Amino acid sequence: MNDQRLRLDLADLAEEVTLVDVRDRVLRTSRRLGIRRAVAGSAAAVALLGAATGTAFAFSPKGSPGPTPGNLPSVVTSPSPADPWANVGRIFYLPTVSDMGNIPLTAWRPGGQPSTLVDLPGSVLGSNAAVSSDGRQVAWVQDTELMLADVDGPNRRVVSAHVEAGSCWGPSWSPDSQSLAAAVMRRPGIPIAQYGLVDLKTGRFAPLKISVNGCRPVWSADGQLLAYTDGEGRVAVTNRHSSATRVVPRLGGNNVYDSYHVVSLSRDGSRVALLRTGPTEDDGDIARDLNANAVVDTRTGATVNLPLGGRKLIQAYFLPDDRLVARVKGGGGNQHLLLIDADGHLVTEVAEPAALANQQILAVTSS
Amino acid sequence: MDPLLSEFDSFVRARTPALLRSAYLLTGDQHLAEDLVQSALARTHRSWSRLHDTGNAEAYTRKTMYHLQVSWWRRRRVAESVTGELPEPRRHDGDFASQTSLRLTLRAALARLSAKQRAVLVLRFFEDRSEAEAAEMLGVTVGTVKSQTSKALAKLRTVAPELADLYVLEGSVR
Repeated sequence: MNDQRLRLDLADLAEEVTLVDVRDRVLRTSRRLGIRRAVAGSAAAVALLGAATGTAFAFSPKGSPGPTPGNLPSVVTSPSPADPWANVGRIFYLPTVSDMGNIPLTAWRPGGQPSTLVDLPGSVLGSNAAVSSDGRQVAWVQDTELMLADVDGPNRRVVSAHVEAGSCWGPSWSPDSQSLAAAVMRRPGIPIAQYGLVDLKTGRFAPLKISVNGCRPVWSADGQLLAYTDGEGRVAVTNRHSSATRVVPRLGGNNVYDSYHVVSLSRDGSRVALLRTGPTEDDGDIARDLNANAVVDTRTGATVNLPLGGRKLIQAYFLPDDRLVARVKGGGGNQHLLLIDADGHLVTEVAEPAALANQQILAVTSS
Repeated sequence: MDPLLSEFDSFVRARTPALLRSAYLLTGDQHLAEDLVQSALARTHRSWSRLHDTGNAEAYTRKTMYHLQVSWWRRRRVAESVTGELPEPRRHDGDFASQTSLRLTLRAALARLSAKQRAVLVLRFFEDRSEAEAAEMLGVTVGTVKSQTSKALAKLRTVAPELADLYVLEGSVR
């Protein structure tokens, strides 16, 4: 083949492209991917310099210490057999805002008292801490290290030292609590991390065929599906074995609504709890937002009606049996937890303790 | 404006045209090319504090772009967005030299290649990279670049024989 002719033809073909200014889109993408605050001014300069010294997140308190054992868990009241919350495990909370170097993980079960567990580094606030599905361990990313500890403090260890700093892909626990979705660097010199699963028993990394812009993955309880945002307002649901992917209609692209924060996926992947934003609303900060204002049918994009009694949905988590724990805020500002069965009927509700008013739910476990 | 952000702006505006041309050859689609450049530059933005004074920012951006493109998701999107239909084979007459028609044929033929095959062609024959440079860019061995280049050219001949014929008629040995 005539190489020179091929070169000329490629150059000719390349001239077909229309030259556009992508500057603003680049900065938006950077922000949406959770990579960096795209803001001007001294704050950005500090953030950029922080990254140069290896700090993972612009807003990570420099030198924030690792986790330390917190107060011993207080005695948790066990629900009675007739208690509708009987098959709900613990609800884990982190502060919504904090300027502390360490922040405590808190657990609560309806009918009991909140208990303070491990102290986590303040840098994980709103970003990447994740409690295992069995409620026994918590994982987080600190700089480039994927960390793990028991929720009550001990057994802290590094699972991987080569996680992509600042990535919004995980960590996210598999339903069997045996592996974590994470973004791991392939090898030195290759700038793109690979999205996949870290097996906690063997340490092996299994790559997933997932959008390179995938963000905030959440699992279905059967372990088959992952839902995530694509950084452009769309939400995708992928079968992790076959890689078959479905994009949730009515979100992102030219649609009125976007979603950059997926919070929870139902057992069969048919419904997803997420934060949906309209054209006049802020897409949110780069940090993970655990708020959810809608449950959406992943096949139609339609909003699933919930028996909220006119109150505002602020968080929502599916249980493995497809029940939903919905957190709502009433007119008086009080926050309640609603237990909704798989058919969409309200089972029961309970007022949260006042001590949890400024906390966000990090996870709801079934054991 | 923050001086680092200002520098980044200048870099983006100066290098976007060249990046878009390569991205267009890699994707075969205007919107996918824009997406690809946008994603690569966003990652460059992330590392700008350590890249801005090294002179390696463009190399980093291109490397990122190639790795993004070879990834599964974008390959799938390209396959979805680009029609696999090739234009009808043309006769060997005077019209054959029509550059517009040739572009259509070449574009459709490139769409038949794998993402990695297309990447090695663009690196070797559009960006004029050596085999070693292409290997470094893609994070593969020189042997892989050689084999992928060979496969890519063979595939081009298979899916668009009239292109190969054209090149042969112009004096090359197949």
